[in-house]
Amino acid sequence: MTNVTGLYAIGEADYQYHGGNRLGANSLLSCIFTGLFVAPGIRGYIDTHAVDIPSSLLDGRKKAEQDRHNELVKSNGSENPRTLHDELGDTMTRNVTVVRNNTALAETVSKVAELKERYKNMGSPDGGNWTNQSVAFARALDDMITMAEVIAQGALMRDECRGAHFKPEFNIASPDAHDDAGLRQQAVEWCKKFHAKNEKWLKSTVADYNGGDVQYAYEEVDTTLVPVRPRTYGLKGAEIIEEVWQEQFVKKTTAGTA
Amino acid sequence: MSKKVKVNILRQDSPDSASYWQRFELPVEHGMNVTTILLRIAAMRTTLDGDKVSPVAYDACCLEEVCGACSMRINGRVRQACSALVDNLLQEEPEITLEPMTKFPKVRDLVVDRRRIFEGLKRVKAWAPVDGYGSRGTPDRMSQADQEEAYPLSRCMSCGCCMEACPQFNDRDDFIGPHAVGQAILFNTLPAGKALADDRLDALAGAGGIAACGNAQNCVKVCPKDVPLTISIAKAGRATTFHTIKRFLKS
Ligand code: SF4
Ligand code: SF4
Ligand code: FES
Repeated sequence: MTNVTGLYAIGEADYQYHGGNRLGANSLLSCIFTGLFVAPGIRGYIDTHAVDIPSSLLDGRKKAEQDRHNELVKSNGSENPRTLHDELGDTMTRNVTVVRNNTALAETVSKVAELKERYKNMGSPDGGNWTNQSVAFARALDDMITMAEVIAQGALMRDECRGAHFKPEFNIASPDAHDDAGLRQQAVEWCKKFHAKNEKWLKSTVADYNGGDVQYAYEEVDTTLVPVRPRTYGLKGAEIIEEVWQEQFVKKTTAGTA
Repeated sequence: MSKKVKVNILRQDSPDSASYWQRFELPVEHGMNVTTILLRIAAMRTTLDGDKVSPVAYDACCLEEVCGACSMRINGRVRQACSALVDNLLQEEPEITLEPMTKFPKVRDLVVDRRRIFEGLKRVKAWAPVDGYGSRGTPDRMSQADQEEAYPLSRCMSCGCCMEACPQFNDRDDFIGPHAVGQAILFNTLPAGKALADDRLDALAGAGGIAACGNAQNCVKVCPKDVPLTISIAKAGRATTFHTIKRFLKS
């Protein structure tokens, strides 16, 4: 259940599958699992907790959505939703995937702001009310623009590499010394930096949007069940880093977050 | 100048209105598929005659030939728009022609009401019953032979191609459709699905079941996922015969 009582986010919309955990592909199996798992929960909720919502509340919302729909169907500005979407897709694919740098992210944030402005000058390509996919798409595009803003801005504010999100400017260099003592010394340095950046950035970005400006805040990550460890997958010097981390940092991190 | 493609689309504004053709022309892009054509038309909105028109309505979802949403008749052959590449199509025909599937009620343009696909699956209970799955323990392991039989059937994506091609699937008969026969056999093979095996055989033996199939074998030829439909149909024929005799002896 989301923080709106009675509203469930199931499948890929689910908190669990986003961001850090969902970089590569989609999560069909997880979606099927949540469907299976949540359905009985919903039934239980309906049986035990559901209360009748006053129809005045629903009618008000319905009217607001209907008005929004009518406004879009009738809109006659010069922007086509498909064209705006192509531009949004281009800039996001170029700048906000795995490798990210702050200059490109800042450009993206202003491009998205521009698209947000141009969106207001939308012209509906279809004035009908039957299977009007253009209007459905235009509505989705509005949300996509907001999501793009949040993703790009959130990424811009986070000065580190996390998971597979790689910001070359903030990469911690791998140990490369040729002797054991040097290697170990570098691994200690590496772990120190890794620890320090976790102190600062081991947080989830929370974006709060209520129609106005987006507000950003951070939420602590619960590490009580799975302790923090370096992501050494494919990293040079992985073994020595893991060794040093186990010896010198595991307790520290656990104590630090407990 | 870049290569261009002419696209003829059979349009229809609403379920009951008359259909009409529109012609478009657009530049061919590298790796372009039919879904991209429809996207580009939505952005340009202009026909070859220069008329400003509403975007063509169509369905699509996965864009990788696994969801089955984008089935339509492309140059007269039913298939998925997302996996139909313009370059390949142009080697067969000089232009591209798009029409909606004919066996399903029209909604708008290339969108049809595909509910009957899922009604067929419901009639044969094409699912593994999961209520109380926790207390039922682990299902039996499948033999290698069963796995090899089940896997090709599990590739079915409910796309409707086999129904579009099947002469027995029409609005006079109540045929569940070739895909549903395949899925009934699949779920009767899966250990987790066996609990409903008799219900499925009842549905296959009943009206609109396997007896409706005239064995024309069109279905298997158009299936994009190479689902061995005719093998399933033969199997369903045998299984329902035994099932009916068994029912008869028990009564
Ligand atoms: S074999 Fe049966 S199901 Fe397949 S196309 Fe022919 S009549 Fe239809
Ligand atoms: S059996 Fe083949 S053609 Fe028929 S619905 Fe499944 S994937 Fe489509
Ligand atoms: S969009 Fe899913 S099969 Fe074509």
